[in-house]
Amino acid sequence: RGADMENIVKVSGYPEMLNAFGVAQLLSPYRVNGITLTGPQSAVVTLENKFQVYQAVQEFHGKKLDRNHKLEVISNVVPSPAVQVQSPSFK
Amino acid sequence: MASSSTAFYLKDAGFHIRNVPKEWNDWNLFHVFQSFGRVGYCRVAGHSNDMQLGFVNMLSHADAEAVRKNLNDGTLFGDNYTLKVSDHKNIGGAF
Repeated sequence: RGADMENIVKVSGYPEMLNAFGVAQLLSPYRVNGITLTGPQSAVVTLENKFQVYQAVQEFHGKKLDRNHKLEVISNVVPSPAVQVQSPSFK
Repeated sequence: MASSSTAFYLKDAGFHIRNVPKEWNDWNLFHVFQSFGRVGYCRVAGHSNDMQLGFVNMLSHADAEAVRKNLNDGTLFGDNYTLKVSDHKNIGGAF
């Protein structure tokens, strides 16, 4: 299982008391493969793949945990479809 | 790669896709399935004649169920594509 820049998100802004397990819980249900705490309120988290990283950023970036804590979730993943994105014609 | 199509997955949340347009990459397939729910894994796996094969795993059973609801007889109709979607069965039955 290779370390891959695409699988990484930076998470910050969560309550200072959280340990690595608490940080992993923030990103539920995305699958967390590794966490490095980089400061009192920031961590680098490895998820399973770039798609989960992309969705975690969409879902959690800017999310308000409570009135004092707003999550910041950022990554380097840029979606690069080979042809223009087409969505199904009905939902 | 973190996972491959031969690894174990959450049961009943995985799909085999046939008829993937040959100019698509994994992001194209991902965006189609993301419109139904959260995607755990997605891959475009190579050519059969002029179409490609794909594998998609949804992150939960609820997300997979949302995909099934949008299937017409195992087929997903889009603007310029028709995907043939079938359930992925794990071999051995773990999970």
